[in-house]
Amino acid sequence: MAFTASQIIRSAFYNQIKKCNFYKATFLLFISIHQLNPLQLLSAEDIEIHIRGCAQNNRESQQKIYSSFYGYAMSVCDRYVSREEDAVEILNDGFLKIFKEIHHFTPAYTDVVSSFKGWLRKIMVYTAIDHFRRNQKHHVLAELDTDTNRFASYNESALDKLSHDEIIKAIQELSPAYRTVLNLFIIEGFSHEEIASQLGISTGTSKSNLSKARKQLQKILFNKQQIVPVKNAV
Amino acid sequence: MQFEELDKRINEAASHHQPAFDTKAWEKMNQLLDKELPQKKEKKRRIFLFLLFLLPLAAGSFFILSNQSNKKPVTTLQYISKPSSFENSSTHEQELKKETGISKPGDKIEKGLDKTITGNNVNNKKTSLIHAKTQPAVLNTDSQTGVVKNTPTFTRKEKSDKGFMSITTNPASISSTPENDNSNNQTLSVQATSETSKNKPADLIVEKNTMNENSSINKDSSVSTSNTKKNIQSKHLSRWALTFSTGPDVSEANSNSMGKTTMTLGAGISYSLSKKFTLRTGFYTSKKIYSASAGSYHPPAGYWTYYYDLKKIDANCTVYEIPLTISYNFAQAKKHTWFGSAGLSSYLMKRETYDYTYKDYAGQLQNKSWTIENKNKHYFSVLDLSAGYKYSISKKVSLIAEPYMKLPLSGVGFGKIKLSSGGVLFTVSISAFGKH
Repeated sequence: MAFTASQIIRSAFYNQIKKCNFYKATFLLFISIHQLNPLQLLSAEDIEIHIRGCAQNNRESQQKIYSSFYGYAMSVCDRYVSREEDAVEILNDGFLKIFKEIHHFTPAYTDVVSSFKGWLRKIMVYTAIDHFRRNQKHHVLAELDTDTNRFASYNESALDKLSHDEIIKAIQELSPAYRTVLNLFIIEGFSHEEIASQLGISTGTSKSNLSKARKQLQKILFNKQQIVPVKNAV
Repeated sequence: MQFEELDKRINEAASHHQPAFDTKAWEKMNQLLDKELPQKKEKKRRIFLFLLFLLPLAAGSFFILSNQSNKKPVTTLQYISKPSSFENSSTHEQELKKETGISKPGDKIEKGLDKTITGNNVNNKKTSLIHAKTQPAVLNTDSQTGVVKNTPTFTRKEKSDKGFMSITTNPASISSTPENDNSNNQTLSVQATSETSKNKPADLIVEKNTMNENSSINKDSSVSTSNTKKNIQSKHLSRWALTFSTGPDVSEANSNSMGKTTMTLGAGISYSLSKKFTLRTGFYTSKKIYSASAGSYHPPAGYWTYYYDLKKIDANCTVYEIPLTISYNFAQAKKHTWFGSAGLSSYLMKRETYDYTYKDYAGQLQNKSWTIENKNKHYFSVLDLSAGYKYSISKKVSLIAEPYMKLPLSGVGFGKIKLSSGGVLFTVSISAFGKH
């Protein structure tokens, strides 16, 4: 998946921060702000108004909500697939569910935007799970080669060299089953029992897939960064 | 534990990951929404509404114009004397009767011809004139009767066996005479043209005086034709009037409290279908400021999940109104008219601002405001009733005072509120083409 200009700028910004080069980091921050879609900068009040508009099937409000929460929603969706087209499909299916059910949305607390984001995230995750179940009925789990044992652990400093986008990219390159379990367990916080019930697998398979996902991720990251593994690490 | 750092980095990466907006993704989303959640097509009712307004006006105009065109040209009815020198008079009379239906004085004229004879034709053709004694004759047209006086006398001097007499009538020379108006003396002329060549010139007696009369009559006829046409046209135009209105208006929405008094402003047109009935329409703008209880506010389904416990709604709406009413003049004096009016109005909600007062989950009173624009349109949704008084300052200008009441046939606005309004409308009516 190709990186967008804003992703590259943000990645460069974090790298400059790590290098303590604050002047360059400030410059990059300035550039990245102007890369933001102005539609994303809606106020909380505007978002509330457009949420009500979406309940009336107002297309303009739907576009405003879509563009405002696109980045947040896509950050969830594109971790579950490797192709951008599939990520857009999951995203749009998720938003369709949201627009259909938005009149049932009740803010759980006074911060309507945070309540809406939490509700949106949940819908995107379940839509991604549905997409996985629909397209990956026959899970083919490739045998990991024996070399993965060499990447049992990494030096902390080695991980620091990896940018966020590189890690996301590596997650996207995982096998579909491993990728889904890894996302649900590590990022979404699902338990193995919950993962098992959602994906239609056993708890043991979920644990096994998670372990293998981590090892495959390490291999991918190693190939990317050529990180030297620490031998005999605990 | 070995993967603790890796998990931490994965979570950090996920929280910082924020892809940029992709317009192509929205295009796909838009197509999906059109398929799964299609929007209601706004019916192009403006054209329909416009045609609906035009329809009664067109029908009324057509009705009146068709009445005008169906008026048969007036043919003269004269006493036709039988000159003693006239031979085959009975034959001639029969021919005349065939052409014009004239048999004897006092008979109704059933047929009118539209041939005219110009002065040249009079000279070229062998024209004989039918002279008739000047007698009062009953003039029957399609709709009116009148008394014709002072008809010129004509004496037919020509005799012909084979020639047929085509009697010409000149409707333009005759205007309708009201029954109660005996002051007009109509001058009628009947000319007969013989087209036979067998007439002996000796039998033709053409009187110069009569010829002169004929030529002058022809000229008068053409002038009066155009005058009559102008009269008809001006009568139609005089039925139209422009109106400019303003007045106080107050609204209420099934609550115990009346709303705030505002001003209505607008302009319109009216058309007098007859002396009793007038059709009116126009375009008016007004503000509807009122309060409604939660029970009288009916938003779309599922809307109230957002507001926990609604207490009150304060509304401030700018409304464009298009009424279509018909008035009946039930009393009329020289300059004074009293009328009643009924019709239907359409409301176009230009701007709706709703202020919601509600209690949140913690029981605290909260306030939220929401504005929508150009969203709701309600065609023929309001019953318009009024009665009024009209004073004619002049032939062209009138003043009207008209208390009215507007009752909802369906809910208006976002909350589908049954909104009633009342007030007084002061109108200046201007007829640019004369009295109507």
